[in-house]
Amino acid sequence: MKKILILDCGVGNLASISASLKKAGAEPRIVSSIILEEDFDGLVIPGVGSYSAAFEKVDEERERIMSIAENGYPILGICLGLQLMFNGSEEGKPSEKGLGFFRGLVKRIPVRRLPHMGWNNIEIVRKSVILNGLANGAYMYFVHSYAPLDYDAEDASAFTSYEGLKFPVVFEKGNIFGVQFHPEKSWQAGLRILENFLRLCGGGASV
Amino acid sequence: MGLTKRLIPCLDVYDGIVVKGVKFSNLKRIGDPAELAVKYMEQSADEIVFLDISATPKGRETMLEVVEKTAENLFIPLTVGGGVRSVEDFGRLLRAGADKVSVNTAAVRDRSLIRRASSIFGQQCVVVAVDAKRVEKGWEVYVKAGKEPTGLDALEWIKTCEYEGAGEILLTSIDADGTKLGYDVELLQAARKSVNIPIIASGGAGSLQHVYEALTKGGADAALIASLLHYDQYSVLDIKRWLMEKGVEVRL
Repeated sequence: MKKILILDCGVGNLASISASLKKAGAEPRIVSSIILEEDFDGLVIPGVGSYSAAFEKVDEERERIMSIAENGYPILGICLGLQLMFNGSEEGKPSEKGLGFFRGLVKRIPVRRLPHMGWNNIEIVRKSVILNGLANGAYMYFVHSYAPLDYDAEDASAFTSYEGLKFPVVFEKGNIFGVQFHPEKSWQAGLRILENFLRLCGGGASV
Repeated sequence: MGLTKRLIPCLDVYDGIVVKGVKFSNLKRIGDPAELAVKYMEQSADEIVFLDISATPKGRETMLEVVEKTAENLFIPLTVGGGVRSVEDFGRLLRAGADKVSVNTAAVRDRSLIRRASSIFGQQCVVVAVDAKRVEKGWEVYVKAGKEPTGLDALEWIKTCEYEGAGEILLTSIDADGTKLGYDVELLQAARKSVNIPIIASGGAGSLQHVYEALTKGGADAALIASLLHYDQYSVLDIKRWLMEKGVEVRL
């Protein structure tokens, strides 16, 4: 069974990400600090709440997260966890630099009705290992008011549309993956994404 | 394509059992909350709401166990409410596996609870439940399960909730609740004009047409359904298919 670390950023519902990873076939472990010597196959950075609160934890663990990334282990960022993979966010202070796995900035979505909350579908724009097997137009559960609106097109694999604005919601580059929605709350479509992620962790799919 | 209207089964939980009663009397046992939640998820419910109606310390402890057990197998959002009084109550329910917590009376008593919970746990998990009753001019907020008037104007109150950091409003019409004569569409329309955060319509659904009206004419983002689902009169999927045929965007 794939051993997956879930980084506890101090906020958010870790029970549900843990339960859904179990359902997808993993052995998840919630950790508040990463010990590199321990046995694991991949890392999930979840996160709901405010950027600054989650930033603090990610910043503490920055070196170890970078080391995991450099060693080719798959990392999945969810919602705020994805946003922390960019260079920074309008929601945080300019000094609160993100992990920088993806170039770009997280901004407040310029529409009237926020948060963007509920089930919305994704438009898959290129072949994607993390979205393998999902129908174009699959519904995912979103809750957010910020999104990476400044990004490199080559990193984005799927988009959603809300209030007339189309923006990217799935990112991938090598062994780094990020989704703006909550796969752990998106039932079958979400579980499929977690299964895809697990398939990339350890075993044959080395990166 | 786009954001869909949500259909949210609401389960009244009394000492760990889902019950159905009219105005809190003649409670009938419907079943196990965790099992029913999963059943509705499989029928493509968009979220689940548990409402603890026991309002006793023992009931609240049981509710935490129910939430823990449910969260193991439920992969759609779960909101839990009933008797929530403090930031600590929010924390306990979220740690047990709830995604959102709904608060009613305690928020009216001390509106800073909304801001405190929102700043600690995030706006997305703070649902303010508002029970509104028609008065001569507009609607008045009632608390204590709809028994106690507050003097607050319902539309002003939901604006305050949004300002304080609520993520959603669960809006129940006391007049319509339990009547099966339809949601209070005028209340929903007025609420829609007052705030930008999502509004969940509650109280009064007796037919599929009622749900349709709340989501279209009323402009609600979601509809809470309870009695329509009990005794398997309809499945969530039946309701959604019907709504889709009528042109409402839903997720099947």
